[in-house]
Formats: sequence, C-alpha cells, structure tokens
Amino acid sequence: MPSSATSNTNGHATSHTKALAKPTVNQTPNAWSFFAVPRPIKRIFDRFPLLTYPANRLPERVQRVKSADGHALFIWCAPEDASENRASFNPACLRWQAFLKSQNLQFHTVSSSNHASTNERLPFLVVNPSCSSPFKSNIVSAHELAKWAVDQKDSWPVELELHYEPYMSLLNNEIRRAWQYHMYLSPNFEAFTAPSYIHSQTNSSVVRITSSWELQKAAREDLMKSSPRIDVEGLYASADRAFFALDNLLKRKRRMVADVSAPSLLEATLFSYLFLLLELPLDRWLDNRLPEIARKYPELVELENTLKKQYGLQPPAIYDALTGTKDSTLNSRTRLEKHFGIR
Amino acid sequence: MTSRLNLKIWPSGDGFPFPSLNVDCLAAIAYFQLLWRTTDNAVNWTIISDWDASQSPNGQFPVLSCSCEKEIAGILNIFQHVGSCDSINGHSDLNSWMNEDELADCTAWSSHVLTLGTQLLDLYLFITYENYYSTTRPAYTAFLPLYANYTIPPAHQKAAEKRTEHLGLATILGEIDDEPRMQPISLRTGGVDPSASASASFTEKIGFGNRKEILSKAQKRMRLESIVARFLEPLEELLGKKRYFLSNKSPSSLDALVLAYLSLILEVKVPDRWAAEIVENSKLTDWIKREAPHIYGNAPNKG
Repeated sequence: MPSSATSNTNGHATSHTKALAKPTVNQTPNAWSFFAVPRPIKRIFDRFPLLTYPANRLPERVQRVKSADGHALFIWCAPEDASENRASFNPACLRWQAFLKSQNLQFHTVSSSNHASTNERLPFLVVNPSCSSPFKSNIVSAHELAKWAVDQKDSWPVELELHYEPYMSLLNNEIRRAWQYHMYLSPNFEAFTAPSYIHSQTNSSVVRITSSWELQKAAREDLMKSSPRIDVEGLYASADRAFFALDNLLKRKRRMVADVSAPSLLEATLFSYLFLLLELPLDRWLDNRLPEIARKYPELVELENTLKKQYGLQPPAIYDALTGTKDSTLNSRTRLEKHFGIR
Repeated sequence: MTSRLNLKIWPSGDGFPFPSLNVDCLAAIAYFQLLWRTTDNAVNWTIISDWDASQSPNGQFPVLSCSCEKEIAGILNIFQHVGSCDSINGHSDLNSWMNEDELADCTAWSSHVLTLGTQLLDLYLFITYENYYSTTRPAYTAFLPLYANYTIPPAHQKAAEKRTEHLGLATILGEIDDEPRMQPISLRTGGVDPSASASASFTEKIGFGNRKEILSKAQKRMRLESIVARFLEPLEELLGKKRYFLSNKSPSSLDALVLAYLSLILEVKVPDRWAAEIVENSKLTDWIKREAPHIYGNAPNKG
C-alpha cells in the first residue's frame, strides 16, 4: 500500500518538473497535470531565473571554538579571561565549570552573554565535533549538563543518597536568595555586579543605566516570588541556617566516606558560592554580611580551599582589580575603570 | 513571669476546615500546639486573626510578636526565634533535643517541604481554575473588607503563578474540565448547530468521541503525579518506620511543617481533588490520620 502511494507522488513530481523544464505544454497526454504551472506565471519565471546564494560562512569565533580541543563551555566571564582557567563570576556557570573539572572532562571556556544562548541562559556547552553524534544536537544546555556528564563517564560521584535532595534545596533556595540580595540589591551591585555583567558588554552610559535597572528589577522580582516584601534580616538568617546545615553535612561525609576527593554536584554548587564569597577579602565587599556568615563555618572554608587547589581555578579578573588597591574605594574604582575601559 | 506570644495569622473560610487558610499559618499553629503539649502548657500563646499583613516584615502572615518586642516573619525564622529567645520560658523549643546532625537535617528537610509543598499548594489552590474560583477566592472574600478583596486574592494568585511558571502547568490546570466545550454555532439559525452535535454524539456512540480528552487527562495526571512524588517520596523514605520524621520519641518543627502541608491538601474541600487523590495513595496518609487529631483538636481560642 505505502509503496504505491509514494510512486504515485513521485509520478506527480516528475510530471511537475517536466512541465517546468520545458516551455511547451501538453506535449504528451501524461504531462498534463492539475499542478502544472499556468503559462503566464511560467513566462515570468523563465525570464527571472531563481538563484540560490551560497550559505554564509560561520562567524570566526565559532570556527575557533570548533577547531579548539575539548568541549566549549560558554559562561559569563570577562572576555580576556576566557582562555585561562579563570572562574566565572556567575555561580550558576562556576558550578558547572567546577563540576566538569571534577569529572576530568576536557573543556575550555568561552566568554559569552545570555543573548548567545538559545534559551537565554548561561552556561551551555558545545560538544567537540570529534565526539558529537550526528543524531544529537551538539549544544547541551545547563539543565541537561548533569545527564550529559554522566553519559560521558558512566559513573556518578558518591552522594549521601537520602540527603542529596534536601541539601540541594538549601543551595537552590536559601543560599541563592541571599546571594541574589548580596549581589544585586546591596551596595555590592555597584562595585561588583554592574562592572561584571554590564560594563564589560557596553560603553554606552544610557545602556548601562537601563541594564542595571533591569537587572536589579529582575532580582527584586525573583526575591518577591517568595514574599511580597524583602525581609533582609530573614534572608540572612536563612542563609546562616543553610550554611550551618551544609557545614554539618560535609563533616558527616568526611566521617562516613574516607575519600572526599571526588566532589559531587552538590559540592560543586556549594563551592561555586563559597569561592566567590571567600576569595575577595572581607573589607573589599561594600556589604559583607554574607561572606561573614560563610566564614564562620570551618568545613566550608576547608572545602573551598581544597577544591580551589584541586581545580587550579583563579578568581575572576574583577577580583584582582578590586583587591589590588589597599586604600580607598576611589582607588579601586580607578583600577576598575582601567580594567574595563570605563571613562 | 509568663511570656506572652502573639501569633498573627490569616483567618479561615468556607471549605477550609482549619483555623487558617494559609499553610504557613497552619504550620505555626501546629508548632505551638506541639510545643504546648510537650512543655506541659508552659508557653502561653494566643492566635490573632488579621487580614492586613502590610505591617509584617515580609508582607505575609504568620508573624510572631514576641515579648522581647520583636516581630518575626517567615515560618522557619519563627521556629528559630522560639528556640533562641531568652524571654520565652525555659528556652522551650521543639528542636531542643536535637544534636547538630539532626538540626542540620531538620533545616534541609524543612527547605524541601517549604519549596515543593508551597509549589504543590500553589498549583492546587490557585492555579487549578475551578479550585481557585469556587473555594480559595470565596474563602478570602469571607474575611476581607470589600476593597481588599480586589487586591489581595489576585496578588496571592499572581505570586503563585510566578512561583510555578517554570513547571509549565498553567495551561493544563487552568482549563475547565467538566464544563461542556464551546458548542458549534449554526450560521443559518444562529443557535447551537444541531447537525454538529449530532455528528459528535455519533462518534461518541462508536467509541472514538472522547479519545483525545481521555488521553490528555491521563497525561495531565501523570505530570501532576510526578510533581507530588518529588515532594512525597523522599519524605516517605525519611519517615520509614519511625513515629516522627527525625526521631522515634520526640516531635520536631519538621513534623509540624509536614503535618500542615499534607493535612491542608487532604482536608480542603475543592471541586477538583487531584492532589488529595494522589496524596491519599501515599504511605504518609496513615501518619497524618494518626497525628493530626492531636494537633488541631484544641487550638486556643481567637484572642
């Protein structure tokens, strides 16, 4: 049944092209078809031959990504940082950077922004063409990265099974909310967040002002999902409880599993926040409540130290700019200006 | 000197069998009720029903007014405050029996219950079209003054929408299931097209009529079940054969939380009981049936 159907359509197609190819109609009785092109239209197309232009070349950057070794992880970072093994200043990106490193997967980082991503989120990973399968998309978005990493390795790091979900919930809720306040709504926004996310992308002051406003508005709206008013004390109290619990989990894991060298996704996520909070000296933050809380817990400080060395990660360039000067905020500002070419 | 604790909550309405229609307020009541029981009535507390939460630190109830003159909002912050405030008799706290490991677990599991439980109740009471318009909204109307009735419930619904939009379930829960679909209109007579309905009933007669609808119902059910399972299955595993979630002997603030969330889902009277139906199949229902009567049975009178 199906074969006759396809031959039928093929017949139609050939008669159709025949009619197109030759200017005369009704050559053979078979050539007549309902789909034949009417003569006046056909004359127009005879006069204006349809032309297909060759496809544009891919942008240079993509070429570079394709030819480089390993997979390419697109993250938030300063453009000049991308080639080195510098940490992203965005914890969601740094988390995957740390996790892929802990799984010994070869990759390099590419500085990008969320406009480059298909789902407007960073990070995403472009699989090295030599390992990609022709039947799969070679772009792995953030929520598929864990599965993808497992497929590459066929093993999953040790987790305290029952505890994974609730402790991950602490990181995804309590810690993330406090981080959002700390970075976007406290004075740290001016010193750290705006230069990292916005000033590195544009020099136009109008765009900078509107983008800052939008970024802060988005953060505020996100925090207001859980309560109509932002209770700052409550946010930090929750973060304190969460860090206490995570500190305790690490202690227990050390007691139960002798070898703590294979960090899990939970630890990579925890590390991403700790690294960004602890790498900058306390007095450099304009609002240092959250790093102060994190510093209270020895296991957390220890984890940050161990994993930092293990991964060989350096803090984002903006940290150097902020720590370089010892004196006033004015000085750190001038260094920032130099770093990001702000006038 | 006896300490005086005032707990401000949102009141209840028709269809909601408990003292409040808000689950966090219920959790706070459950907590104090358990505390009252375990400390032999040493902690003196009063419930104050109010509708205006604009003075609350986070714009929501429950709010605890402590005798140390602090106002604390947020259910977990309230639990913590009761455990640490000097003005409360003898540091009586539901979690005082815990060691550090148990305290850490309690914090983490509380985050799990709050996040996924709130999400589930958002879907059940605010996003499910029928439930919102026939139960939740009228319950608010019962205690809100006329002008606030036009701002507060829509604001709460909008917040619920925002909290759950990443799940993409608004379209399947927002539609009305049992009402008849839009009737095809006859262009000739201007009324309902009799020929169209006749052909529909004919296809129904031969058994193909509702196939698409049945299929989509099954799919909907499967997605909702997976959301409830993400919430309940880890908790079932945690409870195991113990009497309470973290110990066999003493209740904790986590028990108060789970109790509030699950008993609200099970007992609220809504037309589309999808969440209750799924939860009823869970092992936790027995636990709820055993523990709930102790908790809500004798809450103090409204002050």
